[in-house]
Amino acid sequence: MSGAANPVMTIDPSEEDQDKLAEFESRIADGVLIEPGDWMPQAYRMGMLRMAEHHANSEIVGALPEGEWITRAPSLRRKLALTAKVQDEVGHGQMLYRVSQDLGKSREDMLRDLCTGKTKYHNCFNYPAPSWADIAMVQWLIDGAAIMNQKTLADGAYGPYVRTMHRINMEEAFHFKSGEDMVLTLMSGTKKQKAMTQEAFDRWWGPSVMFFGPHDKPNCENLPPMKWRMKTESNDSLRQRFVNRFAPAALDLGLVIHVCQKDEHGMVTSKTVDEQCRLDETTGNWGVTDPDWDEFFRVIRGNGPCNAHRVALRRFSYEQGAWVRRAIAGGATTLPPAA
Amino acid sequence: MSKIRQRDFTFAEELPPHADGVMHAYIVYTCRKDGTPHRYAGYLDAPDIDLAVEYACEHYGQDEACTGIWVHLVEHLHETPCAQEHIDPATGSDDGDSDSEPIWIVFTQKRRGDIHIETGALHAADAATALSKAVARHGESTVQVRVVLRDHIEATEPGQLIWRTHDQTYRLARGYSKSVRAKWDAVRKVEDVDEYTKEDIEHHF
Ligand SMILES: [Fe+2]
Ligand SMILES: [Fe+2]
Repeated sequence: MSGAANPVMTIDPSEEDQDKLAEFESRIADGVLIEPGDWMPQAYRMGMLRMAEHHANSEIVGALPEGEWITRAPSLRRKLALTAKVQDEVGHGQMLYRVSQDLGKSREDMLRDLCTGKTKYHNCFNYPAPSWADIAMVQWLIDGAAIMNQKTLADGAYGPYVRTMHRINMEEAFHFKSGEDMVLTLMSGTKKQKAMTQEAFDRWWGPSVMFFGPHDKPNCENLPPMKWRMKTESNDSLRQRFVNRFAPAALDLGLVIHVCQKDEHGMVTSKTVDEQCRLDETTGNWGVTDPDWDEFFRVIRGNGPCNAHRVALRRFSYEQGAWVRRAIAGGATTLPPAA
Repeated sequence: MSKIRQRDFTFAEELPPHADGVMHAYIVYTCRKDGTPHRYAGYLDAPDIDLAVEYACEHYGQDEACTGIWVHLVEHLHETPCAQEHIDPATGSDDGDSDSEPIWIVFTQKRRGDIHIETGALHAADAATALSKAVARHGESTVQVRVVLRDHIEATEPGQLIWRTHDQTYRLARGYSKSVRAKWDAVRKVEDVDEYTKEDIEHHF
């Protein structure tokens, strides 16, 4: 997860009921799952809400660039698959908003905060997807990273979130596998297809390495997010596993791993081969050039290549859909707004 | 690309007002195969139970093979507190069923974090009695027992088409496994592909 300070880190735990807190922590240490009816520290409730809401936002914003490609899919089967994938992602949003609602925030407020920029979504969805190969890369690298992350979240402590992760991961498996199939197909295709895939890979490798968030704070295992099993593996450890899995796969496919400079639209302007990206025989780990964390924080603050466009499209949909929601919920019926 | 997606948007300063009207939370169960128990799938918001069933079919009914769906209001659920270890069935009491009393459906959770699965049905005059009987009869090796009045559950019609019957492998991971493996084997060593697929989620691929 990324974003500004999570409330779990800023609420003072000494304000909690210390006996209950100790019992809560010992239950988590014993691997007992927390259910909504159980006592939980306020910081935990707020932290889980923020995490689930951020996750929900990411699901529905992530579907925006992919939705743009449905009409341009290269075959009927790919079109069916992409349509199903986009439907899945919006469904993930539905489930995660529902989990968040139970933690104390209304769905309407969450949708509105997303439109006004008060809440964020995952940084990687602020990058452009100008070709079909980008759609393949997103499903291979980003859904691949999401599975690795969500598998560890499914091992967390909050029952409703854990159950949702299990259900989501079943569908992520499809997203990833079909993405992998697309990348493999493109890389065994024509020269032109290979070049297009390399360009898309150059655009997505950096955001994928940043996917797991910035380097961890020292001692992160003992700080609330991990101590309370809101997350179960550190950012750096997840990132290392990701690089170990995907760097050799990309090289075997004939892709070149680059360190890229990009313009304000997220398009690559210059690139050099990543010399760090090789296997360290002693540790068994693959190296990777540390991403540009200034860029990461610039994008979080709203200044990435596509932030404005994604939020605008979300707000447009929210406003265009208001009359439908009113009609469904039995409120005053009106005509649809002019598009 | 569609014109809508390319254009520059201009918005009023403020968001339009909050939507009016009331939504309710519903719990959804799916049945994967006729004759097997209904399993907790998730929950959703809907204005009434008919639309809740529609939404449930479109969302939870499309995730995997599905032959039937149950939906009920969250408020219609009665449950025991979730036990740390296991429920003691002796804390419930069972004085037999009378056919004149309404039917309750029992759901149980085996371990904390598991989904709730349909475990049986019983007759009882009220929720407290139903729960107590359910604990006595089905509480063994569970952490939580839930009961819902059968009349509060809306179900899809028997035989109703939910999961489409045409080939839907394009929306399942296993629809790609073979072709992906063959393509990898053409470019990588078998051990490398095996190592790489270790991160796949076993039973979903
Ligand atoms: Fe998703
Ligand atoms: Fe996905």
